[in-house]
Amino acid sequence: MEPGNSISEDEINRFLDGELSPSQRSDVQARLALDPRLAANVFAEAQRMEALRSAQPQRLFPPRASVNGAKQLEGVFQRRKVVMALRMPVAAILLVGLGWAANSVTEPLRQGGRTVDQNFILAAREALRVAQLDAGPQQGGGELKQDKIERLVGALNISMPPLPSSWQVTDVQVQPWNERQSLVVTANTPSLGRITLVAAPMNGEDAVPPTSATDGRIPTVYWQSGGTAYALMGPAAPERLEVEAKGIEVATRRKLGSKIRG
Amino acid sequence: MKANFDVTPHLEDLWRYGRVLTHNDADADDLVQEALARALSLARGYDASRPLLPWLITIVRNTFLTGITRANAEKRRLAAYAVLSDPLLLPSQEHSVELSNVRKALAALPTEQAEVLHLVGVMGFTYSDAAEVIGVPTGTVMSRLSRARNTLRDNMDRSIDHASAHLRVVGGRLDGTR
Repeated sequence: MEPGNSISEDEINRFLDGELSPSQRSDVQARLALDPRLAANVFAEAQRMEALRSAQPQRLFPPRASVNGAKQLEGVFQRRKVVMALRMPVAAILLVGLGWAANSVTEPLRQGGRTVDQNFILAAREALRVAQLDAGPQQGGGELKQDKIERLVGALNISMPPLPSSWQVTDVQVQPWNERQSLVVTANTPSLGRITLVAAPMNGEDAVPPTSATDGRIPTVYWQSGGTAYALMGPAAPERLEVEAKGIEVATRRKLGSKIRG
Repeated sequence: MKANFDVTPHLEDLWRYGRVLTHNDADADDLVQEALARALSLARGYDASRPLLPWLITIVRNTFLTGITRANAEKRRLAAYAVLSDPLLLPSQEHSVELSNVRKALAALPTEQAEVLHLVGVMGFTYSDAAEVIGVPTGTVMSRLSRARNTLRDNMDRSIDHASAHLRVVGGRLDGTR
């Protein structure tokens, strides 16, 4: 760049690399218009960069090993996505379980909102709404838990295997899930204590074996069978949860198989 | 914001960046494969709220810096210079000449300059994204970029002069006189 020119080299580079704001960009363009020689240099530089982009080598058919590596990585991300997504209904059920009233839910908004996670609040409100819907019109004598599970499985378009006979189901709820609904079953078990099973509909079918979430939070084992994802949570060692989950997962596959066979 | 976890569409970008580092197609393939294997073991630490490509690019770079491909790449780089000086590779069409010149000029850049030029100029990374990938301050990215542009321009000018000198020889004497 010429000495004494009012446009610095730094500005030219930022201009070429799209690092200027629209107003700064207009300003540089206006000043370039007054200096045709510099403008020609900048234009030549832009052309060189365009040639550089055009000259990029192509790899239309990457090696199989690279493709396989990419697919494996996508699989890991997909499983992580299932876990992350399943946390939402879990958070919601905890809220409802703790007896949060609408007043409590909206209170953070009235505290200035500086640390409020809007998504969390929306999810919590949705949880409350769904819980109210879930209670529904009271049926005479109360609905049996197993009947409720069967009713909701049909309504939510999910699969639910027969639960182990040793489980004593204490609560069945429907919870918001990714703009749809999930089924949350809480039960007392002789070996694991009080546990919660979440079953949620997924957008596509997949087969993910029972896998322990190792983020150090609530012990959770998750898996996917067909179009339903499951998460089993409870105050037990992940290995023991995984054993229980594998039993349920096998039952799920049998149920799916029998559906396919008709 | 919905996170995009598709890795396959980024394979070509990863390979191209790997090629900037290794200067060789096969080494770039090996580097990408090694980087993907490393990414698998690091996947748990990936922040899903951030774009995937810079994360992958960083892993490719770190894999290159710590892997055996780096040593191989230096050997290949020397071989690449032989290609640069090969007059039989002169293309026939004007556009091809330009592309050929820019490729040669790019191949002759020091790796640290070629890398930053590729990240910002070709892949469209912001200065701050490129700085994060490379692990240097933004100011260093800018100064490397500036040097890279100057070197690229000089290399291209030399390449054009070289081609012109060859053209003058045709139909004349070796000293360029008629």
